[in-house]
Amino acid sequence: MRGSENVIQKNKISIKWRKIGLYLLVLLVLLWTLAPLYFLIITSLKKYVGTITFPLPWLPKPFTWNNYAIMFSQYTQGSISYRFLHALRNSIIASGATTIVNLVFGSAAAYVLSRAKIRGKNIITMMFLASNLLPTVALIIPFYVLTVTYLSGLGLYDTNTLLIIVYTSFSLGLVIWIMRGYFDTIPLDLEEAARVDGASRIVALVRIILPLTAPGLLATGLLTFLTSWDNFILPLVLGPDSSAYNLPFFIYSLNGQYLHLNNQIAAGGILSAIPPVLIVLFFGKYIVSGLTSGGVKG
Amino acid sequence: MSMMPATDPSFRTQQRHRIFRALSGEYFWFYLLLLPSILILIGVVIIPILFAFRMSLGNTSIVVIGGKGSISDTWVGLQNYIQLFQNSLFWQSFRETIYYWVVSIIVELVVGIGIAVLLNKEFFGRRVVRVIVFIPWAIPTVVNAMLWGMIFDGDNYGALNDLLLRFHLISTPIVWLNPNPLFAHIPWLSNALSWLGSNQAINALIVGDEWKTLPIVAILVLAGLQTIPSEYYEAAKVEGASGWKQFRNITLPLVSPILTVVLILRTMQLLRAFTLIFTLEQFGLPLMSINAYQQAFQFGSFGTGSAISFLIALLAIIISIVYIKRLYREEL
Repeated sequence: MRGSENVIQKNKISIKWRKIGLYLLVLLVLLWTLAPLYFLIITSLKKYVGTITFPLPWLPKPFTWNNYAIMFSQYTQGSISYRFLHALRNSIIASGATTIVNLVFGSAAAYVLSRAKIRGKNIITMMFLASNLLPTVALIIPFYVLTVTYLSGLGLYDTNTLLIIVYTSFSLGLVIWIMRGYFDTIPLDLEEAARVDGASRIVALVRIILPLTAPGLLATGLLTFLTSWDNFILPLVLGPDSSAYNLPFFIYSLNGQYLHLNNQIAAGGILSAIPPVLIVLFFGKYIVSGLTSGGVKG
Repeated sequence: MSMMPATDPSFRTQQRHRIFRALSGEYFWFYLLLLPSILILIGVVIIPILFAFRMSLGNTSIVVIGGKGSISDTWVGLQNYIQLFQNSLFWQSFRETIYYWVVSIIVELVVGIGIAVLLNKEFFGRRVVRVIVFIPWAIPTVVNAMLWGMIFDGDNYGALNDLLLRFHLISTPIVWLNPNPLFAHIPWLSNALSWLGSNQAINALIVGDEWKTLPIVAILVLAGLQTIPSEYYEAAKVEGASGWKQFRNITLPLVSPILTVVLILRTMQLLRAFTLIFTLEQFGLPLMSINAYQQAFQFGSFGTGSAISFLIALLAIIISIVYIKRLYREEL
């Protein structure tokens, strides 16, 4: 009897220690996640002098809202707020349009690749996915040269249209791959039943199949939006005088050659991070389920 | 496609039937729906890649005025590639690229799976913690780069230096983003690590990159863990399997499809890695993508730039074939 009591006692202690260890690890993960975020937020609320003193103040001191205010006030040609709002507009247009184009074309292609008996449709899916594994730089250099030389007649250079076309190709493969996984899970009978009732293939697709894949559409749409929102290299290639610059390029250009206005950069950074952070907070679980259930077969 | 001679009459009718079927009825719709994506694939991916290959075979330079440019390329054959392969700096940047990719992936899998297992345990506030941990993934790459630039700043007001100085762990600030060799006091180790592409700056960049990307790995693996029925573990416990054995024989095999997805996603991003490195290092740490950009847009040597970018593309294609074969193992 004594012995077994001892064992239970030991087990209790080891369980207690395990609990403590568990909470310590969780604390560590939280610290790793939140410390940089906290640093970014307090930096954005400091006057410049507070970002270059040693030791750094751990609270936003000397405090100011000004870093945020200048993004919206004193709107004149070339001012910070002008460039910020212009970049914001470009980011919204390019990311929004890319998302729509990708969803329409991508899910149409995914539907065909799931349903049609086309020889080599796996190879085609594979090629789309592989096209998204290509490095951005490998596409940007030739695409840039093509737009300024042989295709200069199209007038694509330095337009949002150019950005949308190029961004579309950056995530189309992923959309097709995930959406095909979704279409594969929808039984053929369902679609055939609708078509027996007289609906054409397109009507059946739009009315019956698409609503069933709504989680997939939401997930891929948000992923495309996040990827496009993040794009940096194409505006960089177009140069500082371009008009099709976006938020990432704007934040990069805040970084002066001699002066690093960390507080302004932090404020601009937080403002540009708000839309994607909101997306992840509210729709994160759809993105995750899209990636896991669409991408993973079976 | 069968290789029948075109003179065979049955083949010709078969061919005609196929074309007829392709253009009529539902197959017409199929092809119409597929067409835009195929056009994008050809126009924005395949043609540019082929054009890059053509440019890489010449001494290509372009002059751009107001968005219109003229191109001049003298054919030099494989000269650009030969020069690259003879250049030790190119091989160094090749090894650094591979190092960046491999080390990031390993860290991500080990730590990412670790965090996922942790978040799958029961503890107070689990739901909130899961949401918080996901946030860094949403921060735009440029913002992440700027943030880690402030943390790794070489002056004493860089956040990391500030902490270390404050607690007297170092006496002078460290310039974290300098590509210094590691373990400089042990020459053979230092040389070996430098050869492998490891240095202070690249490891700092990996840390900054992981802050943004670990969350998606951890959250995806966590989603996989949640689909594993707890009966499996209970059965294993009855059989007396240790924690590691359970992890090895139950957890890993069951989350492995998700790991493939993670690998594909992350390789996609790591081979593209440009923003973080360029923002923090400019041309100071010339991984292959930076090198290609510099050759083309700073030196105006589009031939060499294209050659490097074509080699990156080749590398990406080889890696993606390996992954995708794994993904479609049963079907191809």
